[in-house]
Amino acid sequence: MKHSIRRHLLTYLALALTVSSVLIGTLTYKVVSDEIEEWFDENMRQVAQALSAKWDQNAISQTLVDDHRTITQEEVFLIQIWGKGQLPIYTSHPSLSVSRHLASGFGQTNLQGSTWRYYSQTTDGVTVQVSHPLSEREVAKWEVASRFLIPLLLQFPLLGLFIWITVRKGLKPLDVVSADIEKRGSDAMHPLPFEDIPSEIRPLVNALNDLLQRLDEALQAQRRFTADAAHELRTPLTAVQLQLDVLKRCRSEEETADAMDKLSRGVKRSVELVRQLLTLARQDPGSNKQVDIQVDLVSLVEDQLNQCRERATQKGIVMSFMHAKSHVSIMGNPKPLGIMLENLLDNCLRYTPEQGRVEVNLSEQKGTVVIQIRDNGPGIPENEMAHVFERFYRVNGTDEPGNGLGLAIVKQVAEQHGATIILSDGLDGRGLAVTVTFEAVN
Amino acid sequence: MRILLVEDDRMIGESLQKGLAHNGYAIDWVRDAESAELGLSAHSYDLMLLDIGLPGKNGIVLLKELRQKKFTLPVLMLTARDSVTDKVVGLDAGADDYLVKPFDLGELEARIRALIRRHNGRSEPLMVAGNISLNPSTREISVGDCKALLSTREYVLMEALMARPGAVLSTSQLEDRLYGWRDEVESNTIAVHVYQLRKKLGKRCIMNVRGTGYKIGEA
Repeated sequence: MKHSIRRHLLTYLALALTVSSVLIGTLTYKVVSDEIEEWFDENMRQVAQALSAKWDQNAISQTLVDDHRTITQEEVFLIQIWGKGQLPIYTSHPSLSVSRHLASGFGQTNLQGSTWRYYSQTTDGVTVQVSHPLSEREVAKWEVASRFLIPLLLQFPLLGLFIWITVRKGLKPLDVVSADIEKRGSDAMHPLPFEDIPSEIRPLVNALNDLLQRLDEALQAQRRFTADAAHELRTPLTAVQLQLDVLKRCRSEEETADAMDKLSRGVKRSVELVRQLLTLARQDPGSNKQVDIQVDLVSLVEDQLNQCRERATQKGIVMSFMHAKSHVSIMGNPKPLGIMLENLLDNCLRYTPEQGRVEVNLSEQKGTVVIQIRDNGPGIPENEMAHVFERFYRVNGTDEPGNGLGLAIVKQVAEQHGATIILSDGLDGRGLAVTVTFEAVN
Repeated sequence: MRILLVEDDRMIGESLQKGLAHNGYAIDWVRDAESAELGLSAHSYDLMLLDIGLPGKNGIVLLKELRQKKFTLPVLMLTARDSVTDKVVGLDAGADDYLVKPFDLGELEARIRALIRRHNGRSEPLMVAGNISLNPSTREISVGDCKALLSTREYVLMEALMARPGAVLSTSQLEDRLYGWRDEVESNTIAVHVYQLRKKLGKRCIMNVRGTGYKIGEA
């Protein structure tokens, strides 16, 4: 069964109510019962004593009967008086007979299948014995006790109803909040109302609002990204479509070969854009949280340099890698870090002219690990440096095919690793230097 | 027909230039707004294909400025944004038509023809001058009962002459329509095309105005 505060409250309150009612009922009955017992016993004793005294004054039996009736009112006492003989000299109910007990005091005996209580007093050989069936007492007890117990039973449903209403009312704010959430569309991210919220669920509503806000931000970022991506895909696809149209209209073989070549470059560019978009989407915060491990940047850089060695050689670009120690580690995720380095080196090779230089420097400084990649290419104009990390931004006048996503990916990976990126002038007073600063492993 | 293409993306620009050149359009391709302004001040164009997302000054701003400067040439806007507001903004800035990327080259050509037609005050697809009628979409020409199919260059020449019947166009004006900036112009090429046309359509279809140029004939 599901855990429910309402059911929990109702169950335990009902249980408490029942237990306390039973307890009060039992106690009340016990007190009433004791009182009644005492009262009956006292009456019996008083009747016996009075009769005893009257007998001494030689009163006639008729008066006795009357007397006994006035004392007990409607209650029935069996009164027996014995003298010296075996048979009673007086009995109030001749049909009933309780045996004579000589010892003074209370006692119990069986008569006609039920228990009788008697009080017997013997004075100067005359025994006055007053007795009655215990069942009479029970009737009296119930009569008195019911006057207390019936209101007690009556308060039971009233109190139950009151508890039910109170619990319902108390939990109403929760119902309001859950109803609010329930009827929302999947994109309704406005905060839950905070007025009239009891202090107990305030933290919950607070936390929910906080979550809603973060969800909203993530959703909007995702939407922006999707819109941007869809928009940016149009450009390479337009090129492909036009290249295909041109190809269809080619008349000579030479033209066809040229158009084919252009088309294949267009397709390659579209594929590259999709690949980069996927990389960005995979790196998006929250898309997959991987546990950071210790990553050796020396071997990571060497891997990436090896991968683009051939491209560099083709362009006559000299690449160098300087590092003070044989291992420089940071905490991070090796795959995205590799992608980051790949993108940075790719940029260098793209934009650095033939016979250029690319230098990678890895150093440790005061609890930080600094990786710097410099080239002697055209660099980035200062007024555009602030924008180059934006998705799809392309430096004005760039002729290199690209999608403007490389540095956006680099920035995303850096942010993921709590690293900072600084752009500055590169080698020979020109070119570009990208400096990424990580926190060192403690 | 001379068209100014303003498009920053190299692949798209190259393909448009090549594709449209197949159909006899002379395309001058520039990659930003400043170069477009320069081109417009140096030549007269029949139409401008304008990409909205240009680096620096964007297409909308350029278009507004051109319209303010009373440039009346038809402008076909090429845009990657397909929301209604984007289209409205473009049309309100002074564009005559728009195409959302990616688009088909055939559709672009049809829209170019329609724009030129409307710009020349015609609503029917056929160009008519006297008993000569020219169909721009099929490049079919008929002079009286004689029907012929024109080559790309012949069509451009005929189309230029028929656009304003009675007007005399000089050889260099005709060359302007026929060739973009990067095309090499052969010295006697207009004369050659006129010769070919006269052979197909009869001597009187194009009249030579001595020392000035050519005009469409009464046939």
